Amino acid sequence: MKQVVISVLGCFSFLFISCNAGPEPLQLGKDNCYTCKMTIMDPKFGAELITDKGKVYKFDDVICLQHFNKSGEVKQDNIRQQLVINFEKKNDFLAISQAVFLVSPGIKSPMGSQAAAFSTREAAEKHNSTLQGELLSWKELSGKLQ
Amino acid sequence: MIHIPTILALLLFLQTGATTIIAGPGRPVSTLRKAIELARDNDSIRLQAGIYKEGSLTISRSITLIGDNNPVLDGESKYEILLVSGKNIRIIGITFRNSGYSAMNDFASIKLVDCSNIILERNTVWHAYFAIHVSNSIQVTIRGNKITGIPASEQLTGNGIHLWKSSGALIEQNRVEGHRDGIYFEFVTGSVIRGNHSEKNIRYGLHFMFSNDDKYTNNTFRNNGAGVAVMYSKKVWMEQNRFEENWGASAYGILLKDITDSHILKNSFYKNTVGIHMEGSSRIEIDQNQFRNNGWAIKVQASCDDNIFHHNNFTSNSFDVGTNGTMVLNQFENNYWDKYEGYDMNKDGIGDIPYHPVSMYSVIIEQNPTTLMLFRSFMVSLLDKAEKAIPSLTPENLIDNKPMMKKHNL
Repeated sequence: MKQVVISVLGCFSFLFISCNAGPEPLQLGKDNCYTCKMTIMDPKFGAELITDKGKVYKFDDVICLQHFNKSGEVKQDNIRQQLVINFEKKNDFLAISQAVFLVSPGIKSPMGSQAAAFSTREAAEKHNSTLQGELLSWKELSGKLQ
Repeated sequence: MIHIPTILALLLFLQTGATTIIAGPGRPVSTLRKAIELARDNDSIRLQAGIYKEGSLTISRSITLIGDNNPVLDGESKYEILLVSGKNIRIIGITFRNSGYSAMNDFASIKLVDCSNIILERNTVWHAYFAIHVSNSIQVTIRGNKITGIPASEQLTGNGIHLWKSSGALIEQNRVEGHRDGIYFEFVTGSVIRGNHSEKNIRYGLHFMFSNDDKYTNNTFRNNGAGVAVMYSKKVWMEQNRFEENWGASAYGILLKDITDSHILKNSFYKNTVGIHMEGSSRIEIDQNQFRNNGWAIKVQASCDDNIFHHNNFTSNSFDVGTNGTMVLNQFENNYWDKYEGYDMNKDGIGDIPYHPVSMYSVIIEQNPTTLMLFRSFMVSLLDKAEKAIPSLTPENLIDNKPMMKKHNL
């Protein structure tokens, strides 16, 4: 009897694991940017947008996320989360509203946003010591990105 | 401790103008660093065979550096080997190996910054982050170099030949493999890429970004992670290139994204997942190309307009044309399609009934990729036949009105 119960539970176990709404790690060299179609290669840049149904859109640069937002393909109401890759750590996602962006021509992002995301203001300032860039929030940066 | 012969050598060339400095182990000038310090404009340095571990070197005077019997400059995986900034400089026949990596800067084996009239010829670059990195330069010739990246599928690899904000470059007869992008152009204008061989690069064999008025001809791009990408550019001329064996879920012979006023002719697309993938592209003429054994010969997204495909051969492709919409703003004419089943009553070589290159099944796959599982099943061929008789799903205007009965001789 016990075996039957276990096997029945086993059959339905996929129900519990199938819905995972968190960010998916970017698979470098395999995943494509949804907007520009380029293969994502640079671990220092990238972004993700997750809809309320759990669909994940991946981007190689925040400028591509911005273009996607502007395209209206997913309505603003249906977005659950927007995330950006921490410049300092591979596949470490930061909530885009809390990230600090360092913008400088010295930052060669894949699609020319020239923006790198950091978890704290201090971390961004540390990188900025040689670059003379400006520190912006996503709200300020997204207004500037064309 | 300056050697007397060194001083003599110095005096000698001060008197005579252009001289040749011979540098090498056991010579009066034993290091390349010393030779570069001694050299004045128009001098030559002949670097003798040997392994030189001299950290980072800079050339800024107009000199010619020639390697005799293949001398090796070793970056010991720490240094950017050679920085060039100046005009009229030539670097010939030298092997660069093991240059360093930096997370913030694009370390390169040979870096050209603010240069004009430079020739890099017959050099070998082995295991570099970036191999040849050119920025802000005009009239750079990169010819006959052999570039081999770090073979593992590492992300820590840069581009083979990387040009940024340059013009009038000639990239010729090079061989690049094992880098991120084999040849990369960003903001490069009026340049030519010809006769190169770019293979087994992790991402693209050739990558164009924001680069107008360029031409690439007679190149071979084979087995690169994602083929070739030409993006956000105008007036690009692509002739007689070979795009081969670019397989993968997102691999393309050429990915065209936002390209206008360009010409693609006489190329060969063989064994690619998608021969040409077009998005947001207009006014491109695509003629006299051969599409053989591809998954899709062409995918034209609905965002493309005013493109014309004529006199191409389509043979043994699983799908000839794929599209994601019903709007058709592109023209197909006088192509040869091996799937064409029409007839030619008046014997003018042109089929009497139009050919629909988009099969119903390819429309279904575009909307629901997993249905690819049913490919070549009885049901699917039945549906395709039915669709041919009474088109309902396929864009009815996407037709070749003058399909050829015989293959073009290309």
